[in-house]
Amino acid sequence: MKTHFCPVCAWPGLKELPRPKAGGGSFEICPSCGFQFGVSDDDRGQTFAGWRKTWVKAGAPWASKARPAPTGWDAAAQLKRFGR
Amino acid sequence: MRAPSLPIFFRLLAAWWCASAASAIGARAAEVVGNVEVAEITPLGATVRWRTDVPTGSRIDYGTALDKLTQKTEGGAVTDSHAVTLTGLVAGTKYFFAVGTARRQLAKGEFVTAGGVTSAKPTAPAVNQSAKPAAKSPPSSPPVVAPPTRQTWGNVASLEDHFQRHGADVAAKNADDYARKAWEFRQRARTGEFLVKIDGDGVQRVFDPKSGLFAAYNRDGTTKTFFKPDSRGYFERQPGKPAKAIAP
Repeated sequence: MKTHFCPVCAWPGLKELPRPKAGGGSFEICPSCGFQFGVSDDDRGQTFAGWRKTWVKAGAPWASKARPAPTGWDAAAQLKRFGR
Repeated sequence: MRAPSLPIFFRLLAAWWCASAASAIGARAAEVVGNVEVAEITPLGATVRWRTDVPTGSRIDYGTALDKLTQKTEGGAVTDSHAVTLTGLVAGTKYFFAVGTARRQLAKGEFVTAGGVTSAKPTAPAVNQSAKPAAKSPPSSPPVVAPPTRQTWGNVASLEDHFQRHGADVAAKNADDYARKAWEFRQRARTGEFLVKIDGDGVQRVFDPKSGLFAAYNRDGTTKTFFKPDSRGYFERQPGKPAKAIAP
């Protein structure tokens, strides 16, 4: 099954395109950073960069309480996709 | 064009006569023998079986209200042991039906598709009910029992996250309760009660201006999310074409 990168934290396991071609958001919640596409942005006014900054400042914790982080998950390594 | 050869002509004549005779017998004297049985009930279908005292065709008229059996399914061969499978039904929905032939309804019954409490409750043959019609159901009987969460929520692995984030918006007690409320919201949207938009991917967005609740559903009807937006005009900003109601 094809997965997608989170444009906020670079988590590679999103089930849907965060911003589908049909418009709006996917409504998926990224388990890594907690951003909900179509809600965090379209309703709460957050930007990808702004959420990322806040998340990193908070220590980049794994966001999902229901889905455990993969063994060895490393937020810093994940963020390197953004050249950080 | 050449006329059919003689043996083929007689064969066709015999086939026509047999079918006509069986049909005439069925129309004249057919009655249901024993009970009408509703079996193999799934969320999206069911098989109805009945027997007749003489061979007839098989037909079921059905719908979600007793006085609106607007859909029909017909079986193949003329027989006295009938089995017709209904497909494309809606999970957790009560259906009324009448079995019989193309000319005549012989018995009525009802059942609820799987996805909650299921039941099959054939009633007495219609011929015996003509003097005392069954009590009328509401014009449109909305489903009452929600199917299991795994059938109603699109990405089940994410449900708990949606519940923890939005459950309080709809006073949900737990993730299953949250999923159930989202499913019920969609059932109400099917009646045209709420504002609906459907985008190019078939995603259905539903908004209730009174409660301020919003939900999004995948093309197959499973829930994507359910919450109360904070911002004004959220639904208006959503993509998609307005629709009167969500299709089943």
